[in-house]
Amino acid sequence: MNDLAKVFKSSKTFIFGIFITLIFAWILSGTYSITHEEAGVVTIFGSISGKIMTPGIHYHLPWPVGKLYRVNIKELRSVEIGHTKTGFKGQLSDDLKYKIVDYSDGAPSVSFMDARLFNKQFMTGDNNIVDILLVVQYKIISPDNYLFSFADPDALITLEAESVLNYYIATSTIDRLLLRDTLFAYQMAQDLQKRLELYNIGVSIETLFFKDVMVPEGAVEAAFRDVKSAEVDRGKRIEVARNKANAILSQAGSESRQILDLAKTESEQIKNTAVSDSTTFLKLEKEIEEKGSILNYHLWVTTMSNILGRAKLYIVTDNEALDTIYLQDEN
Amino acid sequence: MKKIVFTAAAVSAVILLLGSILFTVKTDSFAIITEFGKLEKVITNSGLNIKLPYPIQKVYRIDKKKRIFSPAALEVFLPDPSNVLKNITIGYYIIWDINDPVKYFEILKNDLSAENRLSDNMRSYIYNIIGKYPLGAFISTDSDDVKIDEISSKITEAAKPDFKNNFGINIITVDIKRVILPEQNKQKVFERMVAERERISHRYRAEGEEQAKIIISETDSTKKIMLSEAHLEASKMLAEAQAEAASIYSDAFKTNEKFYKFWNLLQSYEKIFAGESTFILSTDNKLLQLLELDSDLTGIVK
Repeated sequence: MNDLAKVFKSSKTFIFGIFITLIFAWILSGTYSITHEEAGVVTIFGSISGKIMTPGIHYHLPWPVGKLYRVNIKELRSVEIGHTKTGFKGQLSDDLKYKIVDYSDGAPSVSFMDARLFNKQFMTGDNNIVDILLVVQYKIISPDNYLFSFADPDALITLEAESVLNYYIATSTIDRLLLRDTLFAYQMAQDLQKRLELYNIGVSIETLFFKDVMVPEGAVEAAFRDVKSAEVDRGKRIEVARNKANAILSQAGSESRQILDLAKTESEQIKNTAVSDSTTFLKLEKEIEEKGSILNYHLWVTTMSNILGRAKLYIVTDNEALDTIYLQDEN
Repeated sequence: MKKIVFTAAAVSAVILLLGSILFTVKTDSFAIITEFGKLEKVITNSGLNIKLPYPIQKVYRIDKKKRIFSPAALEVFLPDPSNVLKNITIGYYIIWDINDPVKYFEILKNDLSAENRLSDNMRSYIYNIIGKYPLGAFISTDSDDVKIDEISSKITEAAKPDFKNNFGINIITVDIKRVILPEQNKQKVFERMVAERERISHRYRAEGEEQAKIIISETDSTKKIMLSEAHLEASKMLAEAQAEAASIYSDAFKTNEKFYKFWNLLQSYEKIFAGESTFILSTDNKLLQLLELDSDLTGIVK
């Protein structure tokens, strides 16, 4: 009996001990730590309490009075536009089909299209179809706004980005899009940021870039590729012509040089001949001065012997016979 | 023992009662209190609140936040029947929130039925407004022609009163997120795209051919110019040389003109009769006079 009382007494203490421990544990459950990548928002009975909690150890009133929301504010988050898997409520009727409802004839007629095609296809200002995959990266800069001002901030970012993208593509040419102009992406990021600020969702657009800009596969793609190779062909054709032109020019250059060289040589010859002729003349003239006109006779005879020495000669003693010979030769 | 059991039971009862009468309203919610299923009051501010315990009063929470909803795309006929692309598929989304929680709660109850309403009722506004604009208001290289913003705000303005009055829904914006062609029209566009690219390819190749021709013909004329310049230069050089030679000759020859004439004749004979010539000569000829005995010169021999 005494023992029973002892057990009872000790179990009473034990239960009381457990109760106290539970109370302590409940109070201590409000202790939390925020890592260097996070920011914390605490609500007390559903209302946001005070400031955004920065990294460190903190305390809030335990559940169900207080509640902690953690948000990673360093993480670069991203959404993709043009991707197959960006389906939101009501957008995709199943994995691959996009439901299009046409009510223009009164009764609804439902048709389905390939969601993948629909999701990446846009119309350009010059009526071309282009396949786009756009990536938007953002950070949360205001955790309380991100948490409590919009039901699905990621959906808002994706759909607003799609709307901005649609506008830019609808006013651009396909050629400009295929250049993947970075200025384009920059302006789009600015526009998107401005639009999102209307809804105060506490995000900052960090980057926006085109992951894919392609023309539709098949015949269209082949035709675009052929434009590229036509461009290369044009370049090649011109290069071949330039090479040929260079060859022509260098040949013309060497021909010109030959002509000039020849003319130079000829000019020298003419001058040299003149000099040597006049030197000869002056020498002879000097001889005549000294030795009299007998030299004239000598020169005449020498020349004549030279000429007649090479020539075929007919010598006639009778002057009247000359006519006969002449006539015979005619025949 | 009895005392402990009693205490535990009392504590539990108090917790249960508190749990039944106390409730929190979150910062992003409205709370609606019903009494025996009948709407009693709406709480719009966050915090701790008290109500009569279940089953007398019940609390429903309604999201206060703005939300976005993207219904199925619509095929819309455009007013220009002459255009090949006379119908387009419009993808759009609606940003909305609740401005009258009571009306919303009584008529729609939840977001799923709200979204059904949104996609059903929005259609007529979209058809009416979009159907008045030509294709160029959606896609055009001239951004002044593109009226997507105007169309969006017109649809928003048109739809606002309906949703506000009938459903307690505030339409913040209706925006177009995609303009694309229905499948049957895409093929035409693809064909046109191919034709357009083929034209460009053809032009590039023709340009290459033409420029090559221009380069060659320009080079040919450059060559002709170069050669004619060289010839000109050459003839100038020759003329100068000849002039110089003439002056050398005249300097020399004018010292004895008579002898020059004689000598020049002799030299030209050398040139004229350079080849094999045929002469018929009489013995009267001065050169041959010694061939006859009665010559003047034979006297010397005698």
